[in-house]
Amino acid sequence: MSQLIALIKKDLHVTLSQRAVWFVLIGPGLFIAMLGLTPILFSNTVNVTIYIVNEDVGVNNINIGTNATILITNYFMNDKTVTIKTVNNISKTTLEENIVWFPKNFTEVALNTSVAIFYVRTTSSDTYTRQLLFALIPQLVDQAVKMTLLPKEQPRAQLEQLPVQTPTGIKVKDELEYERAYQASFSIGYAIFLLSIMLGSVGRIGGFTRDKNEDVLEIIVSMVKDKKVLLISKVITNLILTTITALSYVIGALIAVIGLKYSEIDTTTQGTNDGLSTLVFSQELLLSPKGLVIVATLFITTSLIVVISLLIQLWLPKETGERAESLIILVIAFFFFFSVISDPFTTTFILLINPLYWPYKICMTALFPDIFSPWTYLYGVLIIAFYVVSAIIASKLIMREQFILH
Amino acid sequence: MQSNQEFALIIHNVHKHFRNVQALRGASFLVEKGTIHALLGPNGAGKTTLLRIIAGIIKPDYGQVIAFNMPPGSPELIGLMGYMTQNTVGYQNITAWKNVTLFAEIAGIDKQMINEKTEYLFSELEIMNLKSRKFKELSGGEKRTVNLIRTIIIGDKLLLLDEPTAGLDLERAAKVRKLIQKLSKEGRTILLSSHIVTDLENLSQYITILHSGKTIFTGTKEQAIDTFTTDEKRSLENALLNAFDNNPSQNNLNSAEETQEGQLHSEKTGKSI
Repeated sequence: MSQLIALIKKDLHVTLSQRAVWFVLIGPGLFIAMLGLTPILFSNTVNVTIYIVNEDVGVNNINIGTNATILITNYFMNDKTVTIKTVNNISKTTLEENIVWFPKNFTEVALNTSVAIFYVRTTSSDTYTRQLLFALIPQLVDQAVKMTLLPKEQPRAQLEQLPVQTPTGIKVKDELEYERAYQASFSIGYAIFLLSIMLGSVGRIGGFTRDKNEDVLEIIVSMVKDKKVLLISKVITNLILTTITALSYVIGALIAVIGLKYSEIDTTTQGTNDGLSTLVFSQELLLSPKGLVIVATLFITTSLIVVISLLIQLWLPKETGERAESLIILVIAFFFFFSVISDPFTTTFILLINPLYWPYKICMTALFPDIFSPWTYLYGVLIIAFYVVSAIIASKLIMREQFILH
Repeated sequence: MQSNQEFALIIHNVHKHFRNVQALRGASFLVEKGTIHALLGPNGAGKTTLLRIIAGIIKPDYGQVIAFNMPPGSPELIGLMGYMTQNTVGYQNITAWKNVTLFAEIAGIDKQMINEKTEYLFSELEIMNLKSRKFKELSGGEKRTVNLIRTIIIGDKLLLLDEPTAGLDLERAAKVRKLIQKLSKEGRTILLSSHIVTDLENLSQYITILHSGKTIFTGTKEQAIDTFTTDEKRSLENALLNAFDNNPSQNNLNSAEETQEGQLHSEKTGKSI
């Protein structure tokens, strides 16, 4: 036991003495925090004032311009970065930067033709402002048109688009739940992908490759009571390092989620930077007990990467092993990520044999039990089998002389 | 006849091959406790392979290796045997001091003892100023000195030194030789491989010459000179040059393969077990 502790202590000391390792350990956390906080960074820097010019006179007490103005004003009521000012004459806004103008015959044209025209003008080059004016406001106006003209009993048009195809073997009980699962699959898949790529290099730095490169492996082998102790020490060292990385990722995501929560920024706003923030876990997942499921998933994923990485290092000589390790992990991670984001619910054969898919699938089942079948938990058997088989193979590989000498 | 207890190392008819290369084909010799024994031979003679076998890093295909009455790799040998490789090895990003102490901890040596011994050896070899320097910032000779210190601390009874003074400047090499002699006098057994004649002349009491994986000579320096040189050119260097040029098959030494089981015999030394 004392030798095991000494080996772990040595490995941690040597690994953490390299600056590059710190980047790999806490880099994913910093990255996801910055990514998640992007909407705050952008929103805080831009204060937008939009002038709504409503000249619409309406037809028989129907006035779409007025309804659209109310809808837009209410929409931005709690948004401190957007100020809505209403005026009744376009001539009063000649020098203003952002204008939405409903002309006099707006309702009349809408009633008589299929196209009602309103005007948007901005002299701003800011992306956020332009997205508000050219993407969000037209949607709100469209909504106002429908609300005014369509009978109340008819359903309102859905702005949110749901996945087109319902995969086989999936029970869809609640479309909203289905949508949440879709979003979660994206953020969990991305976390697994990013961590896998980063951890591929941690495995090299904290594993046998470094010992081989520094020529110290012979010395260590001559001192260990049992080579299996050496193997166990590497596994534990790498698990400690990868746990730091996984935790840094979760902490980074927490910072982003809490930051967004308290910044009062509406990240659901269409056309803002929510494209990036969807990579971060949602508040309802991370800030609830379900967050522990995510942490556990990332831990299992990192442990699988450690095992794969060490197996490659034990199997191949250092010259080829180093390159092969990066490549193999990269291929596994890419196959996993692009398969999952293209269809997060369907299991293909290529995914079935991808170890990264197993904890992902269990995690999704634990988070969304109404969508996924409980049979999915059988992936846990695959994970355990993978650990056991890897341990048997690794204990044989480490006994080979080629492992020490090449 | 000497008893097994008097030998730190017993190497008997050791064979080892790597793929198509027969690295050792009958290496046999004995190393008395507390002596400095040089292992010599031309490049590719099998010296490093033999040292690796003794250190428990690799296993022989055939033959017997006994260190302090135990087979190599025995847990009891950890902390008793130190192995210094031919290459200069160490973790580049940690300090010279840590490159010694972290390894010594793996060998299970008491922390206080490690610090005391490291302090003593750093000061003895006059590299105390390098204590906090990163390994990568040291010169080749300084790195080898750190390697030697590590080996000395780890090997309380037996040191396997592969080219211990290679790459050292004259002054430091002299200090290292002095230290090795001192350790030997204190009772430590030292098996060293070296091509530096000064090392062999000043340090070694016994010599074993390997050629093509076989022992072609084992005995004292004087016996080596007697065997391999003529009266006009009597020197250890000439003896070795002649020995390295010799075809082992022409040598009249019995190879270990030809000895009876359990009876390693050398006509030159008269040692037997």
